[in-house]
Amino acid sequence: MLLEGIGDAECVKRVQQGDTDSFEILVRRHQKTTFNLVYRLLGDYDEAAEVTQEVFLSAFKSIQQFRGDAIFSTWLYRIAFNQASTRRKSMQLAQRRHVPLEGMELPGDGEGSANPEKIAEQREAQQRVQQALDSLHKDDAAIILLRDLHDLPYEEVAQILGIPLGTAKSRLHRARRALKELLAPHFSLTRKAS
Amino acid sequence: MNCEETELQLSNLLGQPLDGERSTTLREHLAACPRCREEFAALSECRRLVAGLSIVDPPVGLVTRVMAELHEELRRPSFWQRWLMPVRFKVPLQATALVLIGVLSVYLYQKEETKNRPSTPSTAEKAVPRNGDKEAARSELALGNQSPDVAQATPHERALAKIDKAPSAPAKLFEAGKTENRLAETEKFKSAPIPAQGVTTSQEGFAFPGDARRFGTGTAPFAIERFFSTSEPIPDYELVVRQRPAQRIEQATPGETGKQAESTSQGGGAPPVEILWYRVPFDRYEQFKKELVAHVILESEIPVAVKEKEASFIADRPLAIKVTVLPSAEK
Repeated sequence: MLLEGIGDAECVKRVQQGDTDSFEILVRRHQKTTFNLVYRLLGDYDEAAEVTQEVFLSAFKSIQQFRGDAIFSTWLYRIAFNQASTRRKSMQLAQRRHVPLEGMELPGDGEGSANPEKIAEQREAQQRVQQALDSLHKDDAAIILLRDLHDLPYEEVAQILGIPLGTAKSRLHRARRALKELLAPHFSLTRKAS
Repeated sequence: MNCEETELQLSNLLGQPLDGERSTTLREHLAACPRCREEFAALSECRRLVAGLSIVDPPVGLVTRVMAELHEELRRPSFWQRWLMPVRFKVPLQATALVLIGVLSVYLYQKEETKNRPSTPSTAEKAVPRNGDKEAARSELALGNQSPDVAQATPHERALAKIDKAPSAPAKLFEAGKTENRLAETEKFKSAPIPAQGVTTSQEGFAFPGDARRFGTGTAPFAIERFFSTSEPIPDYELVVRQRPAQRIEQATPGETGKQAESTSQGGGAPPVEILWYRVPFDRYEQFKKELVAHVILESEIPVAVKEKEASFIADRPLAIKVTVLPSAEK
């Protein structure tokens, strides 16, 4: 599609002028990152799919309010974080969340298929990390995911969470320490798996 | 640099190469402090674990579903459209509004009807069309039909109506000539009574005592009927009044003289003597007289028929009053 070559800002401008096809470009471009952020915050694949759909619909409805102060992905992540936080609370995921590892595309799946034991260990390690993230406060989990999984700069993380830069740094440190406490007993296992 | 400061800086520098002047200081502290070294290793491990989480593919068809939902949303009416125009609210609302309008119409009609109803309804009022029905009045005059209500009138009224309906032979000729003139006068003076079958009807707002030109524009607070009679019915009261000098009117036209007044020739150029007939509710006679005296000088009052009848009988019907208007004594 010819429209694929245009930037997010141009796509947003066209959508604001009524071009819904341009919004499809944005959805295609950001669906994976948005879905993964939501999925890691919720820990439930189906719920994450539903919430991601709601995130894009919500973005479309309020796109007229997007003034371009931040980049589109930052604005979209902010919507995703808010939607996922609401859903996480309503679902009370702490009691019944699970990670469907079957079918998940894990690193080294293609070449490590000859070593089923290693694959199982990797899956178990990821499950531990996900459970630890689920146990964290949503703000702590979000800041770790945005910084360490999505590798976003501190400034963007602060914008998404709507907090000052200094607060973002101190909160990230606090969140990492909390995650370390949860994962410390399994470090030997994770090291072995990696 | 203490351990706490080092820990925070190390957290901020995770994932970044430790180089530069600040990193040198950190490396020196880590080399000297086994606790911070262990902490740094643990945080690095955590970061590595999170960064190593697999990137999951979104469900197939997510984009299609989003776009389908989006198009559905665009077709769907907005919140305000849904709120203002739902059929389940609109239909009952319209039905309720229709019923309310109907009830209100009936109420207003009845209220208006009560307001228009005179305090003492008379047979003549029922029988004769009002000011707005000039055409009906004209038709009835032309055909000489008697309204069915006239048959329900009291004997006295029936006698009056009969006299009006079937005048004597000279009167018939006189009446025929007067009909058009009466209608013309009615249209000219809206407040004046409308002739119909020789009887006129007045409503509220009527300029007392029926002719504003002669007696001023006072409004009687009760129903007065003025009627025309070419024959001589028996009046209940006969009043003789004289016009005041200040209120002397202009010379009446020949048509008016012929139709409304029976002129008594008193020599060439002498002002005519007029005879006017009224119907007044029994209990309003004194008020009528008072109003009359306000405009003219009462010369005499003769109770002709009233003294021969019982008051209870008279109270059932309006009084027939003959007023003989004499010209002003002023030369």
